Order: sequence, then C-alpha cells, then structure tokens
Amino acid sequence: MQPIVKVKGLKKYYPVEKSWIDKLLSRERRWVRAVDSIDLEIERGETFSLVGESGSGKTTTGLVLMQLVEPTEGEILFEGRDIFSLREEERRRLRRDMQMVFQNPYASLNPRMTVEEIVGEPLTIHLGLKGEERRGRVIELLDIVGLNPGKYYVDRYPHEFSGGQRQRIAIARAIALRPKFIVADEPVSSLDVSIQATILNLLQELKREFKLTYLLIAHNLAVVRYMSDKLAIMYLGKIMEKGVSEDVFQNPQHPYTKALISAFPDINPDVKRDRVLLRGEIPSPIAPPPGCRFHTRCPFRLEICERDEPMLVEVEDGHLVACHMVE
Amino acid sequence: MGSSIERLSLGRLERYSRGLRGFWRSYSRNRPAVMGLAILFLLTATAVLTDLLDPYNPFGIYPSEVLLPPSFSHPFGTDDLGRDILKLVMFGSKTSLLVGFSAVFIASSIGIIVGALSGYYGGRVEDILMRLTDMLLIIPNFFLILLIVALFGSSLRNVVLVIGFMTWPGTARLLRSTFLSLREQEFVQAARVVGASHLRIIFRHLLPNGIYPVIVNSSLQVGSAILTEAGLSFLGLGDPSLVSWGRMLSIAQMYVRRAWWMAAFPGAAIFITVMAFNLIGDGLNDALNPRLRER
Repeated sequence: MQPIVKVKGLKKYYPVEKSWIDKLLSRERRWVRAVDSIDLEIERGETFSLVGESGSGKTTTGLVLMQLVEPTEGEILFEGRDIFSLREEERRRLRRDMQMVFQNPYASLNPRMTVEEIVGEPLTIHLGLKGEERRGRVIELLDIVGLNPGKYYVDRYPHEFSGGQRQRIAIARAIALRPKFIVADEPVSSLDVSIQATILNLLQELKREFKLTYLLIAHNLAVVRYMSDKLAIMYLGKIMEKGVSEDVFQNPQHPYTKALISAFPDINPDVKRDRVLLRGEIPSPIAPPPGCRFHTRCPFRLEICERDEPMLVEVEDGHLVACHMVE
Repeated sequence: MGSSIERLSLGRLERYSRGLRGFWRSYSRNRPAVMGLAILFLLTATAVLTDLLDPYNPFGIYPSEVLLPPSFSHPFGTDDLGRDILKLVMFGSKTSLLVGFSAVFIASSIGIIVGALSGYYGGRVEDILMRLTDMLLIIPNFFLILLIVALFGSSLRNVVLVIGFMTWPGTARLLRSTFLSLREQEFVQAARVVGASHLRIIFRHLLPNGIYPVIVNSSLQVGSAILTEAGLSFLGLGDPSLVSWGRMLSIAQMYVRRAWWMAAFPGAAIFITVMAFNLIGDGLNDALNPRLRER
C-alpha cells in the first residue's frame, strides 16, 4: 500500500544573517542546516515518532510537513502528490486532510477569541459554516475531546482553562475538519505530568475513532514508546536510526540511540543495564562535524567516523541504522 | 432554535459587558484619568450644546463692551471687539475637538494600514513602507504642515487633512513592532495551519491582539493635534471662518498688557484639553495593559 506521507531527501537550511564584517570580507553566506536530507515513510493508520534533542531538526520537519516553512530541497508526497508543487488553492484544500497540534497550548490559542471562534475557524474557512450550525459542530467537537458538556465551554476564552483543557481545545480544532493526518509537536511536554497521560489517551482514542495517522514529535522516550508504531531518531538534522518502535527499543543499534535509551529509567530496578554516557553538547548545526555527525560525542568512535559519513543500512527487517560500527 | 440563538447573543452580550466592567474597574482606579475623561465629557457637551442652545453670534461686534475685565455678566471678560470670551472659548472647543478627532482618525487609519502591512509581510513591503515612514519622521513636522497650509489655504478641511497625513508614522511604527512579535506566536501559525488567509490573520488574529498600544497612542495624539491646530491658528494659518483658541491667543498678543484675560482663558482651555487627553491616554495604558490588569 502507498504510504500516506512520504518524505524524500528533505533539506531545510536557514540563512545565517551576515554581519558587516562578513560582507566586508565578502565571506560566503552560512547556513543553519536544520534538516539535512532525510527520508521518511509514514503508513496509513500508524503513529510515527520523530525523536531527538532540541536542535535535531524534528520540529522543523513537522513545520515543513504542515507547509509552514518551505523546504530548501526535497519533496513531500501526501497520498502520492507532491504538496509543494500544488497550486495555492489545492494547498489550502490539503489542510483539511493535514492538521497540527502545537507544543504550547498557552501560546497556540488566540487569547482574544472564544472557544467557539477558535474551534470553529476551520469550519468557517473550509466549509463556510456560520451561526447556529457552526456552534452546534463546535459543541459536538468539545464533547468528543472530553470537554463536556460542550455548550458549557463554547463561550469562554482560553485564559479560563487549564493547560490540559487548552490542549483539548487545540485538539478539537485539529480534528474539526476530520483530517487524515495530524502532526503532534510535543503535544504533552508543556503539561503537568499528571495530565500528560490523559491527553495521550485522548490522542489514542481519536486515532482509533477517526482512523488517523500521527506524526508525533517528542523527546520523552516514555511517551514515544507508549504511542508509536515506528520511530526515527534524529541528530543534527540527520536520521541516525529508524524502524519499528519495539525493535529499536529492544535492540538499539546506534550508539546515540543506546545512550538515549540507557538514560531512560526502567521500571524494574533489577534489570542490569549498560549505561552509555554522552559527554558535551550537541554541536552547532551551522558547522556540523565532518564524517559522522555524532562522532564528536560517540564513545565508540573509529577513525573512519571522522572522514566518511555513514549511510543508513538495514540491520533487520525495516530497521535502519547509520553507523560505521554496524556495517 | 430561537432560544439557543438568544442564548448565544445573551452569552456574548454578557461577556462584553463583563469585559467592559472589568475595563472600567481598572481604569477608574486611576483618578487623574477619570478626571481627564470628565473634562472630555464636559468639552464635548459644551461643543454640542453651544451650537444648539445659544443663538449668540461669535462674529458680531459690540462696540460698547470692548475689553471689559471679567465680571458677573462676562465671567471671562470681553475681547477687542466686545465679544464675550467665555462664549468664544466654548465655540472654540468645537473646532479643537473636531480637528483633534478627525486628524487622529486619518492618521490612525493610515498608520494602522502601513504598520500592519509592513509588520505582517516584512521583506520588500516593509522596506519600502518603513523608508517612507522614516522620511516623514525626520522632516520637522510642524514646519511642513505650516508650509502646506500656507500653500494650499487654511480651511478647516486642509488643516485636518494635513495634520492627519503628517502624523501617522508614529502609529505605523508602533503597530509594526507589535505585529513583528505577534506574527511569530504559535496561535498565528495555528491559524495558518487551519487555512486562514493573510487578511484573516491580520484582522482576526493580529489586530485584536495588537491594537491596544495604538489606542493609547491615538488618545495622546488627539492632544497633540489640538496643539498643532492652535499653533497654526496662532501663526494666522487657521481657518479664518471659525473660532479657535489658537486664533484667540494670536489676537490677544496685541492686547496682552491691557487685557490679560484675552490670553489667559483660551490658553487655559488649550492646556486643560491637551492635559485631559494625556491623562486619558495614561489611564488607557494602565487599563488595557493585560499584565497590569490581571491584578
């Protein structure tokens, strides 16, 4: 079957503002390589997670998918069509199928709009709904996301809600048009831990009910493991390892993945674990290290790692790793 | 159906009135601002009622009553043509408010459009609009206004238009800077994801969040527009067919040694009016600033 979303060779470089001294010396423009040539395939009905530290390019990937940012290179196919070659109206129409839940529900809801206006906005824009009809649909949607009775909440403003409730409103907005695909950018990381699970469960329920496909962007491995069918680990704009979620968790191959997973506490204190410790910070994406991007922090570094960039190779069915050690 | 529509509008109305009450609560905490508002009400009432109630002709000449000092029959005294200064000051309030509000209306409209477009679109649009704005900003405003009025005639309409077209850059810069920070907010991205058009984002998402500093600034600008008009009239470039505080001052110059009241009362009127708008602006700033308001 054709994947619902296919990302091919996606690159997103941001120009670095030239200082006057650069201009004087006519230095070349430098670029932040936020996403540096990645490939993804997301199958219908699955939850695909992008995992990585801040600066790894996972959020940028999500923004490009939602057409909030134009890619530097590469293409994104949604149901087989390259979304960046479509005309303006077709791209707008595509938003009925692709929606997004943002990280911070305190910033993603317009403070001067009522819940009815916020959740009803996509209904007005795409379906031309107004007045009673729109209000009725908004109330239904609020009931679906667990703000019931919805009619009790429609006329309120965002500041009257808690973080978890706000995220429910944002989710109601995202599902208003019955999309097929939702990008969830760290949907619970700014919420209280006690609320996180309820929002994750809501997302799971909605996925089942509306046959959704998710791209989940996250750094919390517990969340990722709970939610995802497949995942990709990103580091400095590149994919280090990807595969079926449980395969990667049970049998991590890349040293970076191992380090992430070993840093993540196990519920069973008797399990013996090999800790892989990382030192230092993620290097600047303006001048990523040559060879393997991870070599500056890799405890198993070989000489070849400083020269050649490893390709993604398949270690088991559908489990790919970019590391010289596994070749 | 009917009942739920009622419920909708009731809910809205209730919300608006609640918002208004909240606004008034924080505004009224600022006593001077309340005073400013009271002065504005008084001025508006004067401007409207003088015309309606008193058939007094401000352009008449009363030779028997020339240059009388303040007394019971003429509380502010009379001028060189025997006219009652109190009445002239009352007539002048109409000119001042008319000039102040219409000029600021024009300036704010232009400023909002220019500021919104350059703040939202950025890039080339911003470069062109902001250079234009800077050009107007660096020209000494009053002298350009003076020049234009001198060239094109000093009817009330010209004075209003000229002040309006010369004073929008401040508003434009203010709104641009608010838009620059607002447009990066997640809720704007969210609107884009939902498919909102540029116009929708500007008018439904950015303006409602960024208009408050402009409102505050505009109320201060009313004061300065009134002052500009007074200055023009003082220099003899006001509309000759209207009573204006500035023109009264200009005439008073010649008699200032013999009749201090000719200068004192219109001068005080200008002072009080401009101060009222400054106090209002100050009060609005406190009341509309969400960070101060929460408390």
